Amino acid sequence: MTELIVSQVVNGLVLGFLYVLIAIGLSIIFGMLGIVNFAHGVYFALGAYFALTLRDSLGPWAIVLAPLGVGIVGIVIEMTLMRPLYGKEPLLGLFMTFGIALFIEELIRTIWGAAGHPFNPPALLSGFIVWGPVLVTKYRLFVLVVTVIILVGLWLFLQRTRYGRIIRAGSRDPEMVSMLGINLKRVFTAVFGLGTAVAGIAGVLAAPLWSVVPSMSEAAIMPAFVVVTIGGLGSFGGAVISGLLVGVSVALSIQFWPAASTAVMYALMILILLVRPRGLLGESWERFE
Amino acid sequence: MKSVRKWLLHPVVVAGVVLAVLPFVLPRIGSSASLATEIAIYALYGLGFNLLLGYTGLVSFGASAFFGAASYAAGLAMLHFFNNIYLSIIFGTATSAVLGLAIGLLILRRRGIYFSLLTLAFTQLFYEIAFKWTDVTGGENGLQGIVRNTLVSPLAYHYFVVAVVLCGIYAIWRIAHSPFGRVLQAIRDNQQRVLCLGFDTTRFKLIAFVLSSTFIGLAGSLLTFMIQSVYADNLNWQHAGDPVMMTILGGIHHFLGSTWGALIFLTLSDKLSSITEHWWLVFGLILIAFILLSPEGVSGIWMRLRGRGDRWSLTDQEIPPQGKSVSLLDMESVAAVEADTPVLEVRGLSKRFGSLVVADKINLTVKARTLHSVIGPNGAGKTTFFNILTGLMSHDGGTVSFLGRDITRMAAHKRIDSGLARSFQIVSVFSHLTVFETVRVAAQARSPYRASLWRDAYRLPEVCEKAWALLATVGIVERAHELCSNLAHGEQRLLEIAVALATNPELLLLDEPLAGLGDADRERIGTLIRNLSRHHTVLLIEHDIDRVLSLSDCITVFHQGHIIAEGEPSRIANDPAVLEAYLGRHGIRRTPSTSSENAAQPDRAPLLTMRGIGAGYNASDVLQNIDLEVREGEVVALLGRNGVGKSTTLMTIMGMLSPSRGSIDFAGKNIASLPPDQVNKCGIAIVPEGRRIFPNLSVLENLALAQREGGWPLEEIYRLFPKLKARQDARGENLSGGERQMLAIGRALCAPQRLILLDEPFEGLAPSVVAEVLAAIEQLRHKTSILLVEHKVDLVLDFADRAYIMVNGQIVYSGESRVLRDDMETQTKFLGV
Repeated sequence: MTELIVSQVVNGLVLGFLYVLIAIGLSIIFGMLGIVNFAHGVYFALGAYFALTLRDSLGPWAIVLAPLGVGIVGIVIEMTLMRPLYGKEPLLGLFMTFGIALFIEELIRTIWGAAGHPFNPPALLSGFIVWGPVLVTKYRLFVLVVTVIILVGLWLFLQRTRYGRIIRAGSRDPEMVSMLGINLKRVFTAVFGLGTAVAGIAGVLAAPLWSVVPSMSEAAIMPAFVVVTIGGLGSFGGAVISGLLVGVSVALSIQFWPAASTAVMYALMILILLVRPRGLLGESWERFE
Repeated sequence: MKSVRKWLLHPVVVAGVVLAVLPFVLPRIGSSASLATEIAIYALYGLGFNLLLGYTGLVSFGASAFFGAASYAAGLAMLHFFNNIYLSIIFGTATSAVLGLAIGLLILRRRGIYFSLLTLAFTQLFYEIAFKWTDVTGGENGLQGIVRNTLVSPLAYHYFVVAVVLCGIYAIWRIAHSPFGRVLQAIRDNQQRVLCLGFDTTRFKLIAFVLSSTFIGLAGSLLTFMIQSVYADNLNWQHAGDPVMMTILGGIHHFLGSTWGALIFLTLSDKLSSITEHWWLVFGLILIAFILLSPEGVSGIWMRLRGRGDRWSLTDQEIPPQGKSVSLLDMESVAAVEADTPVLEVRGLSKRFGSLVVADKINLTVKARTLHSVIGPNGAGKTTFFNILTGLMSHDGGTVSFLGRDITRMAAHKRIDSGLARSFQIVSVFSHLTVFETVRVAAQARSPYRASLWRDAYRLPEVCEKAWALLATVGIVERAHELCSNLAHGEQRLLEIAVALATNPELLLLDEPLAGLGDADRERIGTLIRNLSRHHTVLLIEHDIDRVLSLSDCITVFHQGHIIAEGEPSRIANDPAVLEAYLGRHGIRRTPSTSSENAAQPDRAPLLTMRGIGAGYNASDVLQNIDLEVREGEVVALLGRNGVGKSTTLMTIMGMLSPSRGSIDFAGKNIASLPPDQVNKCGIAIVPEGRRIFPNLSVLENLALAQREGGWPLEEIYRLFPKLKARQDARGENLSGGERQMLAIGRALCAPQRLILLDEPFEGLAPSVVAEVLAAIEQLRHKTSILLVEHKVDLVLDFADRAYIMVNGQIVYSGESRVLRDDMETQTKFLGV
């Protein structure tokens, strides 16, 4: 029994880190632009699909180029469709991302078909590892390691680099940032590109774990919302903690109460928001209330 | 004839006609007649959703949850309980209403984005339950075997549905025009203001939420019997967007928007899906196109074609007629309290924000039917004081009692109920409501029918008469038909006062009612306030010292959270402590030698030249015709009392505000239309009001962010401000006021600059810190030009080369500072008490 629980917890951590990766992109975009990006899930899906397509021709390079491609798509969309709406009613931005989500998901369905595609991990990473009571696939371990590296890298980026500083400052007072000579429009575009590219990376990593289907965008966006809301809008640490919390909860309930496995995260979100209205580590920003 | 035409064009009639003929029109374009029934159902669905979105301003993704839940409830009722369509439909609707109540009670405490995300969570939860609880809901296969045993023919059912839907549409029309519905629309535009009128906004939103879920549930129940089955699909994430799409296509802020939206959405999806299976592509594009080009959907396009631009049509446009004679407000009847009894008593009130003390054991008594003014320099804590009195802000100690009752813990809307009313410093009206409606909804707060769901709000004679009387009393009757956002600034201020008066208050709290106004308006409003104080008690915050002195019975002077003087105007005008607070005469003197040195300089080249600048927010200009110049190597002071437009001037230079006319030249370049980052790159840096350092970054990071090549290197900034070096790693939010000021100045130096704009750099600082900051600024004068906004006159005049004085958005004095320094008359006239 304990072995089962421990194994599931490990799976839950892997799932959790994946959720964190998806949610972080959403959180960064939200913090800087104030936009809830409903289309975040389709960028995740695009990452998987780009990897699928590029894999045959480019082999392992697909893993790097796919997220890059997603980032470029994100940048183009931000510049053409979202920029005109800054400064207008926030509702419009929300609805726009919704429209983009619909459109791109259908585009995916049109180009790649509605059926699922299998995506096998490279031979190097197939198989299991056994550590005492824990049984975990090599690929899952790989995902765990890679997501941790990426998250650490992102954290370092935000904390140590100039761009990271701009993003952090801009999430509190974007006007002041522009008065210091920094072109906000460009920053917004770059942040959006970064956020979507991170979603794309998550998509590439998730491809062998979840099947590559057009509806995978929904499988990504809802947990992302839940994680970001539980953790606190705009909080990096909050997203990590809540992502792991949600991941483990889902994994454990898959084992013990499968019918409720997806419902569990919504119940968790509702519960936490009622008790702590700004999430676990959320700060009180007048911008969002 | 006109009334017949009006009746024929009534939205409900129009919708009825369209829905009735639809089953015959649709087959002609290749769609089935039953699509008409679906359109009718979705029209109600969309309108129920829009009751929350367009009328109340709540973005809820829960519509599909109620739609689906009601469908299931109706289906289950038919299968297991009633075997009767009508009862099942009622059951479904009732279930939805109860769910709405339960969920609303849970989540309506949250605001904004959190509320929306919670509704999304509930939708997903419901979907999961519907999908997985196979025993009850049939899971993936849904509920089957539902037979419509009455109204068997599709056409019969269609007309039944149309009848029910029309009833629903009519009900929503009544609600939209009812006192309740009017308040919802005010909540949409400015919830806090509605709260300050005495309405329990949470309760209103809850009722709106329940109503919305009821109508949506009705639609869902009708759907069950149309397709004679129920599927979980309608609850999933994608269908959560259906009502959103319909409303956008049709027009969010138009009553029939969702009807047209349903028509377009369903017909289009029907036709497109027969052409291609990828019709969502087209749909997504259409949606995106509408959002970019016509955010109000087809209704918006129609309005523009009719030349009515961006006007909304959520309710009937007309306001009720004025009545033959409009009397002024009968104020005698309001005077309930004996003169000279204390109306408001504040004891030991304290408030701090972190380490910043905004109020320190304030004791204040306001006597009945007096005009009691509160004055004090910027940042003295006056507006915070008002916020605490009205219950908008919590406090850290002390008591407030009003008319003998302790209101220290009372909720904001209850205080208003008990006779407290307030106007706001920043005009706080309802941008999408007419002037008449704004005052009327305020007057409604006192009516016994104020939350009625069914009456026509415009047929409450006492309320409407009172609204007209209020408009007449403040003098804006001619503007009754205008939208509030189209009023000039002075008119908006008058409206503010009318709204405050509307609740029959005993005590009126007026927060800077004269801010931003020209002389004529000030005279007018000043007299109005004086008249009001004969029958009401007025507590007034103002910076127009002349008027305060001539109008008030009693004056209290705030300074840095303390009361430093209180008494009759004549006493206050000559009180040395007050003069010191205002004019900054606290003996910090500079060595005179440097200033005379500058006086001898010949004319230098102009660096910044503003000519004829007008600028403002919304419809009116705060700055009128500003001519201002800063020359190379100069220090120029921009002086003036609070609220005259000094900060606005700096913001306009910086590009945060676009001038409506005039030109700004900097180093030979026209910068009037440049965005802030480019203005900064041209060489202008700003140390803004409130410092605006980034609280989540450390001192070092704040500086590093601004660092560019050509700016001061870090060591030099640390040499200027040694304290900053010691606090290098401290987060911005943990710095003291003085340290923040130093950081803000240092930050401005990090990038190459030829002109620094300093906005009230000494505000809120202790004298020793002021000396430190001043010494640092003095070292800058040879390296860069400075435009300094301050109200501590003494300090600045010693230091500056030239000075301007602003009054009410205009420059009234321009000259050398040493001349002004000796000219006490001018100083007192424009700046002093």
